[in-house]
Amino acid sequence: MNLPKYVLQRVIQTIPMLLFVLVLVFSLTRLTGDPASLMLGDAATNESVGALRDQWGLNDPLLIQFWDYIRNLLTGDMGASLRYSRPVADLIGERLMASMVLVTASVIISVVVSVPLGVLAARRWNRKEDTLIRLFVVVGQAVPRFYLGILLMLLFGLRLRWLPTSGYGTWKHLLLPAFTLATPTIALLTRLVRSSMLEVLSADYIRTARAKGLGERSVVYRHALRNALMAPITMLAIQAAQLVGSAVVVEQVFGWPGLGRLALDAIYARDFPLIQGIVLILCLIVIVTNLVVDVSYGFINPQARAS
Amino acid sequence: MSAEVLAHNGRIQGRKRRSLNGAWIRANWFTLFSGLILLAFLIGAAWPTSMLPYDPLASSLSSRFSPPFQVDRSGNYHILGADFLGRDMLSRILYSGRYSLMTAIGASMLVTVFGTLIGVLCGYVGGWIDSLTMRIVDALLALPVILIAIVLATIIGRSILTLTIILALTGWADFTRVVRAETLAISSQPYVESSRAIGATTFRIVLRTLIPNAMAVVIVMTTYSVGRFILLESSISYLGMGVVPPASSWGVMVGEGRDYIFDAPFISVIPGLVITIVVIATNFVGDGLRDILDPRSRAR
Repeated sequence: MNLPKYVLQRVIQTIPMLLFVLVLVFSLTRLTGDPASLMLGDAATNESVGALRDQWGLNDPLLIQFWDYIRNLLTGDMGASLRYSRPVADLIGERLMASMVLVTASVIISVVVSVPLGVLAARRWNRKEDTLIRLFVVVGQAVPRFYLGILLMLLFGLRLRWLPTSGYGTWKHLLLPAFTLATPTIALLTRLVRSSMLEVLSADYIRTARAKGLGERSVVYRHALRNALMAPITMLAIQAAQLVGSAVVVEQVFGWPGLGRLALDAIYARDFPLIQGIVLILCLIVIVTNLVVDVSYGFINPQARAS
Repeated sequence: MSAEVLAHNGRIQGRKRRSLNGAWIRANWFTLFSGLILLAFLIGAAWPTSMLPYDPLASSLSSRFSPPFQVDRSGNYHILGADFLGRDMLSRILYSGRYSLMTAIGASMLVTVFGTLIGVLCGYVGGWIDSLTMRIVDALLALPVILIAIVLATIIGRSILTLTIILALTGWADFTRVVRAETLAISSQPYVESSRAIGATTFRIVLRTLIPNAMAVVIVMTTYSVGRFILLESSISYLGMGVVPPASSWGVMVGEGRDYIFDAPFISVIPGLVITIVVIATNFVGDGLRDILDPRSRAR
């Protein structure tokens, strides 16, 4: 299959996913049956609930409501926040950049750190380096991100005074949150790179490469690593979703002014139009990331295009 | 949980006529040790409130911020210190363990039952049920789980039962996917074909052949999912969307201590350490069980 056709196919494949997300977000607030009383809280009078139901067309059949919801979305209208009395789209737009910076930095850190670590562990299999890296993997996968954030904050912010404990603006502010967000992902990817490197290094073609007298560098990085990276890349796509979700926690820990913090504020204030908007946008980010990873996967590995 | 798993593990060993002898213990001491840690926390969680060192809910002005291993101003000794309300940390950790472990184990049980049934059905029956379920699984795996869990908690409530259900709802996808893959592998075995050949119904094959043979994978996945759910529950609780007081959990404790992190870091650090240790222990028990139950998959 040629590349454009492959890309097109991937784009079409995201449509059911998109629909699923839309239905999910749409039904979230309708789970309890009456979004109007959910949003107005227990103190609301019957008249005000009724008025809101009329205003939002909640008395229409569900399918019509869903259709209206989609139609509004297509024109960029995500409703107005109850708390801020401003369009949801504007509020999200202000915070989007900070979230993107945090998540992108974490993805980059995850890849840049985990690949050399995994390769090193595989090459020094069962030696001191390998044991240390495996220890890091075990702890990194078990530590909750909010807890790691607190520990890093105490160590680098309070004890060593190297980095600011919270805030936003410079790369120094970014380091702690980005590493906190990335660490469990680094651990997971390192484990995958290590195990698939171990597998590949014992393959016949690696023996052939060695036998024909190639240098160790060339064998490890050009022949083995390229083949060993496929599983970790697939995992990275799945991890993107986790990173976007966990950013909510990390943003809270470090006071990072991103969508996650906005989402939490909205949740505490039961500001449902805003919650819906943020969930939708975060899901869209994940879908687009997955698409990008999928497409670049097909770019690197022609076999993926064939299937 | 771990007790059951270990007991089960013992039964399987017994079936293979290998008893719990010294060599077996030496080979698996690490798994056993991790299991014992889990067991200790389970016993601590099940410990009656009246027999805890202090009442986990009783605040005391004179004990506020009393650091670990010190006698406070009123002459009471708090081995792990006392929090910002003067509540004994050790008692609170054991008490909070109830809710952390109860929701995580409960959700794992739900996911095990439903994930196994759905996974086996999808793997064996196939067809449109399988395609539809797998699309939903893919979609769920690609969503920011924590966010959706918090939103659900806001909407349908924050009782222990609803939290358990929310954890299970957001966590069944990869369990189901693994069981389905295992079922596909088992279905191609000759013995499944033979039972079909002698006229066994689908119901019987699923119940008597597929599920028992997938059990090794299921047990291992259940163990891992306990650790995963502890992590997820602690994040939700840390953000203040978990169980409601007087109930507490380890995540709640870390979150409560956040305001005092620079003056009394131990209030957050100790419960966070507990979460990390318990999750590491569950992961090790999972690894150990995988190696014991399925020697082919022994990790290098």
